[in-house]
Amino acid sequence: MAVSPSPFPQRLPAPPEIGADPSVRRRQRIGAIGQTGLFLSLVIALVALIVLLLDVVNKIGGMAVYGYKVDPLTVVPSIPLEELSQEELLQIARDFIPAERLDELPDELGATLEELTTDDLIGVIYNEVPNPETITARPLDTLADQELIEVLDNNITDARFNQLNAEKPFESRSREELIELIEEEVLLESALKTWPLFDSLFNRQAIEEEIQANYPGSEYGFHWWLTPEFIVSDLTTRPETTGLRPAIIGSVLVIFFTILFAVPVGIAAGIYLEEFAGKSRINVLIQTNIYNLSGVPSIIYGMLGVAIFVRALSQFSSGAAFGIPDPPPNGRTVISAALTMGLLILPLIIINTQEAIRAVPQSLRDGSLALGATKWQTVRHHVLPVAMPSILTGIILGISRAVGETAPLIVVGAAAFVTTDPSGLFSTFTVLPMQIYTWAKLPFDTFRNISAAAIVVLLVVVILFNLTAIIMRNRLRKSL
Amino acid sequence: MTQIRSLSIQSVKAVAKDGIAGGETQAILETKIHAENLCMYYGSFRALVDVNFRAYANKITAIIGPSGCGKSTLLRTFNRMNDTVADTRIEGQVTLDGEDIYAPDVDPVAVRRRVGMVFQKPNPFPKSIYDNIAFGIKLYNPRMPKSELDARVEAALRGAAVWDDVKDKLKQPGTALSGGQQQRLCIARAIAVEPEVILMDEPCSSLDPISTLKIEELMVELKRDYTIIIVTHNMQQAARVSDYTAMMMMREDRAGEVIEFDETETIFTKPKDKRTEDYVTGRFG
Repeated sequence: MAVSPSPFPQRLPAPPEIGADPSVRRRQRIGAIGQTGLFLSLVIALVALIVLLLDVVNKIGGMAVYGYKVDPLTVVPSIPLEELSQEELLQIARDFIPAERLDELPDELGATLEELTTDDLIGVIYNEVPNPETITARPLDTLADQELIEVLDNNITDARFNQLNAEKPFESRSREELIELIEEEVLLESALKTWPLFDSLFNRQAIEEEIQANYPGSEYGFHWWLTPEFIVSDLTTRPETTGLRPAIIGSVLVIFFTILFAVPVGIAAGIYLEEFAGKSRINVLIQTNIYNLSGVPSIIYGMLGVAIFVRALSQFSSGAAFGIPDPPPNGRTVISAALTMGLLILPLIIINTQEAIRAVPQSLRDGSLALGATKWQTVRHHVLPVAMPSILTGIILGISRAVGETAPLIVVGAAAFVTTDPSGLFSTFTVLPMQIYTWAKLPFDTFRNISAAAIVVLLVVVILFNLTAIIMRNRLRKSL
Repeated sequence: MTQIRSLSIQSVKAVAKDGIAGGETQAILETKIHAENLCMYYGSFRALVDVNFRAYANKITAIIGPSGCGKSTLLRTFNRMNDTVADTRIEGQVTLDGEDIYAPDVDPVAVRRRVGMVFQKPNPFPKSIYDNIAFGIKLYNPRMPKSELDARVEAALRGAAVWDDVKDKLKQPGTALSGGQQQRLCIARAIAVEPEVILMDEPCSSLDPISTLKIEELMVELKRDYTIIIVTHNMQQAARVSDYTAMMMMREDRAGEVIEFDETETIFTKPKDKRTEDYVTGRFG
């Protein structure tokens, strides 16, 4: 039987024996190198992420040495010198006046201290000892409750005093609570220096030695900056006492209204573009522009937001047009921020919706149309339910972006410091990233600590939003 | 409506006299779908040229021919599915019971209720088996009582010979069934809205021989109540199940045309066209 001629002009090299083919081994080796490269990329990404997270976590707690900003002796009541006996006054003079001055004084006064009257002695002490009243100051823990309350009353504003009293009447507070209150409100107890978390865990000995050398007699201990109180308290100007509640509420409110605006509009626009709009030149132009808009820097959306929502529509964005009582003076409100953020993530959601709808097989549409369903019924009952899980994925991405976005909100006017919680569409507000940014740029370690703590809170908020969307998506997938 | 009905009967009688149906057939054949000088264009590309085609009521008409000759395109002109593709148009006429389905005042949605379709690849909705059937019914009677809906779903599933396979799992997704069951589910879905014509576009091409046999038996059952037009690549299938056969070929300019239309027996035993003979005997190309 004749061998039929090969259809190929040149034969491939004949295969050597199986198991000893160098070309196969070489090709497999190239594959192995490629695979290693893919794996290394993953490692790089993970390492970068972990380093970032550790850096944040490193600041949320650690050793801290405390001190008072205000000398306690200057705020507590002291025993007037006039009430002291001559003996006691002499003792004070000997203890507090430097030795060489003690030697010079008899010549200047023309008499020894012992010869002076009590009044003169008091005069000498006033002249020679700095802050003489602190000499006889009575330590906080020796004061009676009523005296502690007086200390508070004398050293903080009436408004604050009344506020604290309203929170819990002073009379019903324990002695320890009162002292703690004085330490916080009057003495401004604060962390003089802080150490990073991992250092504090593994080098505690060295840090304690350093504290004892540099801050003798100071209180010190392990301090968590991320505490439940931090999450639920008001914003204050001091890192030790400030909380994050208004920023958390602000973030959640802004995101909520952003979703409320951008998700329905984005999905609707995406459906229209993909299912109903033809391929006319205008539609192609619109499509191209949407792709471009998704790449526009966020600060530009911020400026757009200022021009339109804050300025031009200030009557509406401040709520004045709707007759709400006490409208804010301008449109720097939750609704302006939410609409700006909404515009920012709208292209993202539109594009993602389109892609999700494009991924729905045509056979599904055909099946529905062939039954005599209208285009609308087909989209409503078959295309949308199938596309919904992927659409939600896009929404997750959009929300994550919006939660972390700072630049547009700086422009639109998130306040760096608000004392009241935002309560609705027309409140002034601040948001988490804004607060993080404000704190992080201050040149104090303690502000960096609370900034890190706020970052952790922000991450948790993002995760919570995403988790909700992911659970919804999985439910939808299951119901298909 | 009565006017149209009587009109169509006249045309049917005319057809019978024409004798296109062949001399042996004595019963009066009612023309259900009639394409006359049909040309169909995708943009500037002419996909069909001068097609003349008839499907008689309660008969199975097969469309055969080589790949790319426009069989599916022709089939999809009968329920205006081609309208879902942008930039298509037709010349000539397609009538359903004598009514022009491409008349300006005809909504393709209305046509599709009367002309159902089963596709090449089973395409059940990703919903429960029950909802697959109920969707079509609800389109035409959204407020049907549950009991009546249940009865209709069962009737449709029985009609498509798939009831015994699925009666215990109506709430399970239709996509979880086997390929053959899925295709019968799609047939059930189509007949649930009581169409007059069922178009089948290679309904067995993705099925194994046993499932194919079941579908073929089902088609023979169904022609009692429906007019069936089937596109197939399978010569044996066309010979086994169809009463009439249209043979399509591609012209030089790649436009498809019907080169021969006759009773299936005639097409397979004594075709008039040499190309048909070559094709059905497997000597084509």
